Amino acid sequence: MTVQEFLQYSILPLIFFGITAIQALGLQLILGGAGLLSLGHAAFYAVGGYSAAAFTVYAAPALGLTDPTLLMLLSLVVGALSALAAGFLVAVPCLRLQGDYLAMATLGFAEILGTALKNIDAVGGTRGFGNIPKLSSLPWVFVTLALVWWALARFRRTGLGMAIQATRDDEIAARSLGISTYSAKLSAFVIGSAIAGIAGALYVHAVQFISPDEADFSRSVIIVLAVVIGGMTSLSGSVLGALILVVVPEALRHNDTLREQRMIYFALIVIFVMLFSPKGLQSLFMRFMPKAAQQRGGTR
Amino acid sequence: MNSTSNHGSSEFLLKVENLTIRFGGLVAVQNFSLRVPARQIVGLIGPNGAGKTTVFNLMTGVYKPNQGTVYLQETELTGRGAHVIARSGVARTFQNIRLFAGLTVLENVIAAASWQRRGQSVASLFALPAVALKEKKLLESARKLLEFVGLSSYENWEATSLPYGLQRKLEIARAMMTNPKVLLLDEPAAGMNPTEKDELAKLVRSICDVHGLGVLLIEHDMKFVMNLCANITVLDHGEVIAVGSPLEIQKNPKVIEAYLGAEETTGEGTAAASGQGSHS
Repeated sequence: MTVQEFLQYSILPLIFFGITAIQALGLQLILGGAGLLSLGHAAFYAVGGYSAAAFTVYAAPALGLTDPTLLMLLSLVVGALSALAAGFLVAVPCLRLQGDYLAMATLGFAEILGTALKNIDAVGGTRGFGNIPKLSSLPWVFVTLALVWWALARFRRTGLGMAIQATRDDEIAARSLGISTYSAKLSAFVIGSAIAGIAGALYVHAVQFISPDEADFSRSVIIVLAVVIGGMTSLSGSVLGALILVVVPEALRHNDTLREQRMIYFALIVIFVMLFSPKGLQSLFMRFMPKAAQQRGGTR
Repeated sequence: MNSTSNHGSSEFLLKVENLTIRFGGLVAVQNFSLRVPARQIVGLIGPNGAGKTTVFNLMTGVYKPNQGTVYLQETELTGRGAHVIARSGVARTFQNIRLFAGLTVLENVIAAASWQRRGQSVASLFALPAVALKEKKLLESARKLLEFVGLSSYENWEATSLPYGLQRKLEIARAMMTNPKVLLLDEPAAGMNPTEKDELAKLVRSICDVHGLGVLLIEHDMKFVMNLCANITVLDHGEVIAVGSPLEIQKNPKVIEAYLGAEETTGEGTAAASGQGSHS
């Protein structure tokens, strides 16, 4: 394989890596930031993807929009807002309850959404939604990834970002300091969902296709794995986790047995991480970094 | 801090009347009343399990009382949410320290200003000049509070890696970041050595004198309470058994009985008695 061929070949895996990284960053805010477990993160991603695709396929021609850059930007907005709305609808009733209701509700939402999408003919039903215009590409994905990463890193320092982290660490103390823990958790959840929606919008316009399988539980598990393996408490950890989850199957591409067994290896990695570095692989790397950087906690 | 006129003892910041709470059949607190004036330290003492922390939880909205009222100046706080009460100006610390483990010392204090920054998150995300000045001021006041409690050099430490006594001081700084009118301290001296306790006493004193707050204090160390408090309320089995100055409390037979109990001399009882004796 020549260098040229290799580069050609790597474009798609790189796009998948970027998309998974954006999804993982969104889930990191929910899981690591607010301490809430979402088992249906891929569903919000699918909501964003389908809505954005429906926008460019049906709404945009009706509105007479043709400029590809403008269309892509608008579809990112559509993807984010639709996923945000879906996240809001799921989280509002669940967050009032104590315990793991949110995890169950998100799981249920993903199942319902998958079934519903299979039965809507306008978006292709079980065959999937095809013929979506090619609007996004590798640069779009990576620029968006960088922007989301940057924004989330800064978000931690804002009032809302601090409130979310305080709520995660101790709800009673947070409330005693005037923080509305309900709105902190709700904000974290809807913002995380909106980021998944952005990933969905990028995906459909890069691959030009989306199927109901994208809302599947197994897709959500991949994102949870990326966040846990990389390190729940850090943004760079989530991106690292996404890299591992995309590169490992890619590296095993030429060996079908290994490829089919990939979930076993992920499980082994998770066990390894939990045993030896509960804060994720990112913190394992941190140990070898200079002391000064450690004290600042990296990107914290 | 707003200026509360200092004339007359009718000027109360916090006014608690007839609080009662039942957990199932158990009456945890019954007809509890208490007043906290500005610039004064009020003590709340009583044997273990008397219901002192429950009283704090009732005043700060962790529990909702079955009966009774809580007023902060003219604002009724009875049964409001904990975060609403905190925003109105009642701050507290916890008996079992509750710091934010994932945050540094400075961040713990900044987190207490979260609600004062609400609606500005988008602006501060992009570091817009509109909020830059306000954020700088918040950072300054957080640093000032850390200096006030003597934690300046620990700014970037992980909060829970601090020694025990310093964690208690950090809780005080964090509570004060909410700009309270009344500060409730739940056993602030627990686990401190005598030197640390003396420092803490000075600190609590200046919270009143310099910052003008009213302080309500739960404490087991009698010497500490008797030295600091102008007025003490004694709670036993959920009921107030005595109210008065430290001298009056020490002589009150009901209080002595509650502490010494039917058993001859419990460890706590003797410690309490000797503490009182050496410091009147």
